[in-house]
Amino acid sequence: MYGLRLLRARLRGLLRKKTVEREMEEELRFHVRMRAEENARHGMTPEEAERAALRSFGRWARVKEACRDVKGGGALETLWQDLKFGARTLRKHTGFTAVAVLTLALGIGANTAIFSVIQSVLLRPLPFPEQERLVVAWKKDMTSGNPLVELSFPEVRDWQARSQSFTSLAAMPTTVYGYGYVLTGRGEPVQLESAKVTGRFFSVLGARAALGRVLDESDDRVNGAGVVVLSDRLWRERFEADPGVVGRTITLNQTGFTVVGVMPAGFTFPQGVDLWVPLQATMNPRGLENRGAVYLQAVGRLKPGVTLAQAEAELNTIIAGLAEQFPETQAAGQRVVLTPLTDYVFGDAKLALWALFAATALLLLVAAANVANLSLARATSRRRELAVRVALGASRGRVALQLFVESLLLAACGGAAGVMLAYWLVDLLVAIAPGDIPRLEDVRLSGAALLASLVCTLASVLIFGLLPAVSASRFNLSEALTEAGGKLTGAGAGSKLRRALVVSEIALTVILLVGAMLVLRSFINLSRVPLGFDPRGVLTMQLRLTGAKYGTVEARREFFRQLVERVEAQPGVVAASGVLTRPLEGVVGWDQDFAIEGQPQSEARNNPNANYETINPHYFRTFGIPLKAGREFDMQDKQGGVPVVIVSETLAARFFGSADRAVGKRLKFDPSNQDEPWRLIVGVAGDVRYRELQGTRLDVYAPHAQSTPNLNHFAVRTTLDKAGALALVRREVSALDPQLAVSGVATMDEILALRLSRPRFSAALLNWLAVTATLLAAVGIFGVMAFAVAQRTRELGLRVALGAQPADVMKLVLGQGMKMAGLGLLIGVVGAVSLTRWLTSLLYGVSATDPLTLAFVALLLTLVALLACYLPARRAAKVDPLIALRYE
Amino acid sequence: MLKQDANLLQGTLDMLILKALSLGPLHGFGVGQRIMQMSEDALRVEEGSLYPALYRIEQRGWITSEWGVSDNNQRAKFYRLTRAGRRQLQIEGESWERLAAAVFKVMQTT
Repeated sequence: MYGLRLLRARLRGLLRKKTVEREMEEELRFHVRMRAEENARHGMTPEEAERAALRSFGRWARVKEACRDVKGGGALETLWQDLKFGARTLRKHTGFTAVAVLTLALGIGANTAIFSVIQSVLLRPLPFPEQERLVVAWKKDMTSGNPLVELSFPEVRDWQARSQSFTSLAAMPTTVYGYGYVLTGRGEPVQLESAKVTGRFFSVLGARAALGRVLDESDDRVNGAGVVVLSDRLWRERFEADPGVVGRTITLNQTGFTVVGVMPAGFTFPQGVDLWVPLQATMNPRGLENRGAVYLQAVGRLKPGVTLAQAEAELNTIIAGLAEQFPETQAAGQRVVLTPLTDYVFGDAKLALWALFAATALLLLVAAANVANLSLARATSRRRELAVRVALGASRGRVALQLFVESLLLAACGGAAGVMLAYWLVDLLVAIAPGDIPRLEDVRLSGAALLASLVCTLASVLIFGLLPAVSASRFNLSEALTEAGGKLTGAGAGSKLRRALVVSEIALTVILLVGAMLVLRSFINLSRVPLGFDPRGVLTMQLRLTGAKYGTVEARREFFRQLVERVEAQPGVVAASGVLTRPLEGVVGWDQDFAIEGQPQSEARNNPNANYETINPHYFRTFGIPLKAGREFDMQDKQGGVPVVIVSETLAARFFGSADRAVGKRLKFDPSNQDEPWRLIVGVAGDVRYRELQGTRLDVYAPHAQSTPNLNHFAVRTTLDKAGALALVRREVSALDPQLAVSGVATMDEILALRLSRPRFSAALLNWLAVTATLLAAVGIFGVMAFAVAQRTRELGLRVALGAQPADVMKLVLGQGMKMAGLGLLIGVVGAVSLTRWLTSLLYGVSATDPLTLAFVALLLTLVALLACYLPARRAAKVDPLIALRYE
Repeated sequence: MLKQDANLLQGTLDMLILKALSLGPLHGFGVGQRIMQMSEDALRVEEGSLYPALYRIEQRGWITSEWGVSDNNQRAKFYRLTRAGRRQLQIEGESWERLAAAVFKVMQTT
């Protein structure tokens, strides 16, 4: 109660200063008049009485001052004065203020922006209830080392029947790739990706439709009714967000599908999918029941209380049982892999973003240390001013408060500038970030991020505001006053603190630089890997033959034969070919098991799977893949002819010793299948990085004329630009069949850039952060050394007077600076070695403790430190003893 | 030490002011006069202490003030004891009496 009243009174004193002052004045004047009357009554003349009254009233000013203490704004007024004084001081020291605010803004801005991205992408829960219980399941093969063995439909069904760990399980393909539909009758034909899922898919996820219904178990019928659920995006883009779409029939691959529901906007699982269709109704029934046809993964919801490890153990028992029951199709030696859904969705984007966040946190620390350092140095150089103020009666608490308020002001400016910078950086980040980071389009500066930035600001205020306040208010008055005249020693505790700050700044910068350099080197390594093909001038696209017209493999072969012929006849075209999966398409691809002629069966079983491509004759010319031996396919390699195959260099070397020796030998695909023929190796091609940039596998190629899988992609090597080449292909495709949609158009250079975009993004940002940190550290070292030299001017002058050479003085100063740098480097290297192992999965071709990188960073920082110390050292060497001894 | 002394003196002055006002509203000058009268000219309150004390007590809510007209027809600020002030006066008066009695006893001892 009292506190509230007091606050009101203080506020009134502060805000209505004039009124309060006037009332006080009037009251006191009344008092003087009364006193004068009193005096007159005692017999004085009016003039005498007046004078006496005034005298007895004491000096007006003092009384008023005493009253004002009570009546005025009090502590509030003090604070207000401190703020005004602080602002004036900051304005006066433009250089200091600019550097400090800029430093803070950089740290806070980068931190807020990156935290915003992480918050929107990673921390915001997926739109699934109790998402921590959701897992995605596949298998890994312990014998061949294959980390992703997919499941067959019967296997998922067996899991569902035998497992006790899940409330329910659903099946979906491991990739959205290869399940596309062409939507016709709604404008231009458009290629859409679908997810083929079992009916429980949506109930496992706990997802509801925005309109109509989701798929359920009633849709799980072989050759059932064609039903489809649409994505929000598709619904808006192609159906004008018409609620009446539910129940309507749409045409997908020339077949009618009834729309049963539309999903809400947030539901984008799996990513990039616009249609959800029932698996059983849309797959070939024979393939569905084939245990050898593995293309699925399971999505499951764990029962409450069941851990990932328990579920894994149970499923491992189940698959061991299945391997015994179906030895032909279910390999032994496999293990179940359960991945939490969140990890599955975010994958390695998670690690990259957290690494980025750690880097910005380091930068913020460096920034805060730097500002602390600047403030501390300034507080020290203001010791005399402060000492005088203490001598004039300011309490130490009062001086500390004044310094604290000043820091607060600085932090407020830095924080405001930081938030503005963050706004700008968020936009920049979203613009330059690789598009395959999920939910990136939703990123905005979030409240939590702003709060985090506020916390950052307050933390840095505490760090750099309180340290100088404490060290400045602790000093001994007489010492400070004499020191101000003397300056023979460094400034004791304050200077130790500053050195510690610089040392930690350097250490943090080392860690940041090492991490950034490692990621940069990985990116460089990755961008220099031999691809195995020549990406320049190659345009690729998805081209799927859908509909009854292409029901037979002969029809599909004929289409591609004609297309290649027509396209190659055009001017500017070097070569063209269809291919099962274009290089660098991602983790998707066809795994083919094989056996070499004469290889014992037991040994053949352990052959790793090869990446399988089925191609047209000019494929190798189109992609510029070198032939190491033998020949490419030609028109003679056709159905009914000698089955032929081309293998990769590594496969040839591994099984035949060399490329030349492989030609003329035979191998067989799918060895357990008696109908498979032996295929004659007619050529050996160079290794190609098909799945990922990080490495090659074994590759096998079969002519499309002798194999059944669809060609999913079409590629053309031309001397034309992208638009010209695309127009040409589109023209020829629609000349053959106007119902076909071309999608996923990209030059191989673009695909390569896309594959490199994540490592490039991480490398660019980390290095930008590291360079900023290095600059800040340099400013820090420079500041401390320059200040130390300025403080020791008299001592240095004395040394020179006593015969020290400029070189000696320089050595002295440099030595002092480099001692700090050395200590910082040492701590930083130890820190880096223990921290960078978290980066391992972001690295390629460089170890997390790469000595070269460490050495380079150490050298770089040593040079930076030398440079930062050199300028102050040179000034020290130029000290004129006469002036120095008279200094101050 | 000094601070404690100041507190003691201040507390006593506050109590005297409250006592003076307990007999009816007064302006600042009147408060000083009344304390002087009641002490039979023994206590003379310095204006430099009186007004800050009045403001302080007012902020504590023990007295309130309003502008009025004095006996000689001048505008003056009058102070009046509040209920809280009356209670406070009683508390302070009792504790002062205890203290005075104790001091008296000590001084009586020979």
